[in-house]
Amino acid sequence: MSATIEVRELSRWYGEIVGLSNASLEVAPGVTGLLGPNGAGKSTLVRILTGTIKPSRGAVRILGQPVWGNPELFRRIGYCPESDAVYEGLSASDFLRGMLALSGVRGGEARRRAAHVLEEVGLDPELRKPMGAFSKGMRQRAKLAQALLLDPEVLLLDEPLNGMDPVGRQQTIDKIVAWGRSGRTVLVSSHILHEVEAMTHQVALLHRGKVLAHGDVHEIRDLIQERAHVVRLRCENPHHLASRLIEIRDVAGVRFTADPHGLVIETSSAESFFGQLTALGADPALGIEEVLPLDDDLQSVFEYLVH
Amino acid sequence: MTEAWAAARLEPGAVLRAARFEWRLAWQRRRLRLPTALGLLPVAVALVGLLLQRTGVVVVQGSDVLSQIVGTLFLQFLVVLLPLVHGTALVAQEAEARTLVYLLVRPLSRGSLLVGKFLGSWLATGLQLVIALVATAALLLGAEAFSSPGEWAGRIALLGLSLVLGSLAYGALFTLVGLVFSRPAFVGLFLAFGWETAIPFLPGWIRHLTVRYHLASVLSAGLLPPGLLSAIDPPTPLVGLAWMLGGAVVALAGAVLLFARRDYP
Repeated sequence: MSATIEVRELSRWYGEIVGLSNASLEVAPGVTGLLGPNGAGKSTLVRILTGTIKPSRGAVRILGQPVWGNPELFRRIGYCPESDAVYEGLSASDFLRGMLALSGVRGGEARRRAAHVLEEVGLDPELRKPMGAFSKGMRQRAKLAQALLLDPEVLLLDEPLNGMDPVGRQQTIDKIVAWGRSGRTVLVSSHILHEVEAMTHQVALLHRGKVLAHGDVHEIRDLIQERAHVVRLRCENPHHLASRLIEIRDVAGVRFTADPHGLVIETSSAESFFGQLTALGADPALGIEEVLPLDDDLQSVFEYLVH
Repeated sequence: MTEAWAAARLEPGAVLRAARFEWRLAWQRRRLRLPTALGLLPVAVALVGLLLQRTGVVVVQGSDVLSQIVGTLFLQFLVVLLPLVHGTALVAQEAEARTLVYLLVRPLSRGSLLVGKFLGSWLATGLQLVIALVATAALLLGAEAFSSPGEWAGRIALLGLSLVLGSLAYGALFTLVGLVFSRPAFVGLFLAFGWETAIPFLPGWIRHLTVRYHLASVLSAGLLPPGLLSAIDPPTPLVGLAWMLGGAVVALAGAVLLFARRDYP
């Protein structure tokens, strides 16, 4: 699938501080997580993508067009910033209608669209309370709503779950997944790995201004060959299984766990190991009940890449 | 450079959209507090004058009090201070509140956005000044104004127009100040009550670099009591008007170019 967001050798310095260093990235339709700890360069990248700051070097294209000095492109891009700032004196509906008016949409059409996106993010379109009196979660929803106003093809969401309660988080995650499935390109910046993991396996990992890796998190994990894969197994007879496992060439170690039916193995080649494990699984005497990779989650991959 | 020009370009429709948006914001309750307080100042002074007049403490015509209030409170204070508040805050306040980003990611150029915001803010400032002027005049002139409505209506209209023109020139200047300086309020106060107070009275070309010198020319046609601005020795109204409009355009163009190139993280 062709990339809708193209980042080429992008660098941004703030005086002597490096915000982003020679970052290259391609993002295709669907949800992509932009991950990294605070200060990794996520917000710098998103701000360059939204044209609010300029790169020191390199180029960015969204939907095949340059971003800076190209305001018409923002009919096709929605952006939810990280900060929870809103126009405190305006109601959510007035705020959205103001944003629509700036985009040239007024009157009944503006009212209809504002009501539609407010419902989409779970806010009452009739709510007249000024946003200054909103909870953090409600502000977050209003911010998300303004990003959706023009039904954009590309959504750039900077820490969109900040301040939301658990129910709100889950609802928003579901929405983001749905937006991605509908063909939109959704780039979600976050420093909370498990939240991103709930949305997508497509990630770009940033650290100290550099793109460490991007792609499917499982494929990235497989590429980290110097770290053994760790897999937990649960079976009827772990001692018998252990004796069979150590015969496999790719198994580097086996250890028993506190669970009397559990054991953990380390393998240098996950693909080969799982191939042979399938054969063992057919043996009813071993009674393998559960196979759980322990370190191909985002957290492990990220830690392996950073340390 | 091409990108900066592209960002600075003006599109009339987009300017109008931004102006409408800023106009609406200007009438929000929290943004109205300061203009209301400042606008009530001449009204309060007028009330005191009226009270003194009615109680016979002083014998003075309402029109004389109005002239004094216009010459001092409006022309030396409000017409400078209101544009200072609005102009320096036009971008800085939204950048500080982090709401500017919502405007920067809309389909309108930065040039259109700034000029539109300026126009919306200027019209609101101008109207706030005119409302304060009319309220003050209505209190002080009362029956006198009704006895010769044509004359006073004309004078008030001209005064109002002068205030609106003055707020245009000051507003553009302070919008530029707001984009050049990190602490624009301090620089604005220096310009408003230092530079603008002293320089118009100096001989030579330097007085052309003030708004008040040119504003005095527009007001010189019998709108104010003799002596109030006579020390300024203003140019003809046409010259004064040309300088004010030209200065506003130059200041605003400078502000647009700065705004179009700047990062707003």
